[in-house]
Amino acid sequence: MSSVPSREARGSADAPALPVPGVRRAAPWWSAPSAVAGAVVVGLGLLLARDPHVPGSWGACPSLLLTGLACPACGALRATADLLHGDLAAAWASNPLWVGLVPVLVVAWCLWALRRRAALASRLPPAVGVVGLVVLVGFGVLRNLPATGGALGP
Amino acid sequence: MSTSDPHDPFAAPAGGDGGSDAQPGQPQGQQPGTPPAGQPQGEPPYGAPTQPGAPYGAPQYGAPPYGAPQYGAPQYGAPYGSPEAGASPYGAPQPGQEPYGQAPYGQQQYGQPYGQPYGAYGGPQYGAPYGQAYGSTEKNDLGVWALVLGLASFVLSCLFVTGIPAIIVGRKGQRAADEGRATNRGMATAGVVLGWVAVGLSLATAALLGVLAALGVFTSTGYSSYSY
Repeated sequence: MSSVPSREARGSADAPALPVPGVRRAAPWWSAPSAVAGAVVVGLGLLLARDPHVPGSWGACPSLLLTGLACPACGALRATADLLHGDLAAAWASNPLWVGLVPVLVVAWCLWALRRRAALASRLPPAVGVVGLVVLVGFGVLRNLPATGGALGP
Repeated sequence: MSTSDPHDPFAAPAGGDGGSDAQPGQPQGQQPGTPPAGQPQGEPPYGAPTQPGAPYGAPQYGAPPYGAPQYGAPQYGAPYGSPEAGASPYGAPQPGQEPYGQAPYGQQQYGQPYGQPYGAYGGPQYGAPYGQAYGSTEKNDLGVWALVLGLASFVLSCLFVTGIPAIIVGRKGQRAADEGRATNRGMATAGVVLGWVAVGLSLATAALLGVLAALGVFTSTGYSSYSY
């Protein structure tokens, strides 16, 4: 009986896969993180090219148009464009929730990429999603209350 | 789906579709007809078909690495399993799945040759496909996330941004439930439905806004400030 192979010996992304019908060869670890990063970079480039502060430049928000209420995402594009220009105050005024979320997302992407490189699975507990949904709804309610006075943007 | 004699586990391969001459150890023999083709990102170390038999499988069963899992099944769960991976291995079977039809062979073959689903949701099932019985909750994450994303698409006015992920994750959750690795198929289905409704509403909104823009509504002062 052979000894139990080490984790490394059991394969990496570059290990030759046996030709099994119907099974695709595993993609390299960096493919998914770089795809996400590429999509973000493209989006940021579009935001630089077309300023969301110009009315109608990115269309109009249907819920704002119909109800007059600001949804939790309202101002996110403007805040992102402000961040690209280094104007943190303007970004915060547009959508503080999104401005606070951006560094979290950046760190999460880094952790995800590093864990993929180490061939570890990443798991985002569903509780994060449930709490996030509650925060989202609460933020949407608060920013539309007259008591907040528009302090939560946009 | 296999409909062979539920009391004779060894009848399952012969009864499976396309598996008339399948041996128990050949995973491609009994695919339930929905190969997860949308998962090209399988995690290499676990999903690659080179390993499953190697570290834990009993070497006396010989070289074919695909045949090993069902013999060494219980050990697989241990090293990678997160706490819920083995939470309720004998939980109630999901209605609509076949508790016995694919009996001892089905589990190891699902998911194993295809490896991990995409990205951040791939966590807890590492050790699981090998030793899990039906009714496992190891992939219930998918259903919850699908529902959360589907609901979020209605909280946000940009519906499709989370609607499309809700569809994708929900489909994964449905598939996991069909394979006995999740018990919340209803949540996954709700996420899929909400996602499709959100995408449909997005398309309708885009068409409506296009018409309004063509009519010149947004150039008038009244609506000029409704930007994102």
